Amino acid sequence: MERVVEAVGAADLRLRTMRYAGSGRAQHFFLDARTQTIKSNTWKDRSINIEGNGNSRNLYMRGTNARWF
Amino acid sequence: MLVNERGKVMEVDGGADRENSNIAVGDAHANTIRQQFKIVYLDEVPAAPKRGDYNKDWGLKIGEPFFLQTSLPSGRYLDMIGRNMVIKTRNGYTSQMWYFDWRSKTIKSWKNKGWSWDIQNAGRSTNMQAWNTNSGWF
Repeated sequence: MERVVEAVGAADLRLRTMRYAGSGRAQHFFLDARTQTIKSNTWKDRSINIEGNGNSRNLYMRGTNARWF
Repeated sequence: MLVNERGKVMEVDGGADRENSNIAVGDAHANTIRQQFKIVYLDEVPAAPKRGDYNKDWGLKIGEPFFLQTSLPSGRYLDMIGRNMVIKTRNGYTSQMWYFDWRSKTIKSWKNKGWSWDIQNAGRSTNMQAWNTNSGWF
């Protein structure tokens, strides 16, 4: 059983069973060199973000911004 | 580990190896498996299996219908009365046919493809039935 991180509904990050090739784009991420963030391959305007401006433990997908660097 | 510029590390919340576990951050701890992820590039993702492919983990062909015959002297076939599993004389009805579904990793009824083998009372009974497929078991 292989589980991977998935962006559920462009927001929550959850552990879910890996989908096979050609499907499951919500499970695809990439490093964006320009913003130095990890982005969603489905929602390319969103990056992995710590909720509450970094004051929470929760991770979710949020519109990319340059604030952190 | 996936570490941000302030040393916070991505982790599976609570280390719960379950479907839909939340992803969070925490302080780095050495040798903590909940903070360890493997990067799988898309060209390494396996292709979806096809009907008839043999799944060695489960010992079953994917999507191919089969019967289950008891080794008791009668040689009756596994069947359903309603949702309850019973043995009955072979009758040619699809209620006696089953198949392995690779998506849910359950054995499903050929007659009611939304139903999978299930232990009654959320696994606390000894009785088997066919119930609506869900991912609760894994």
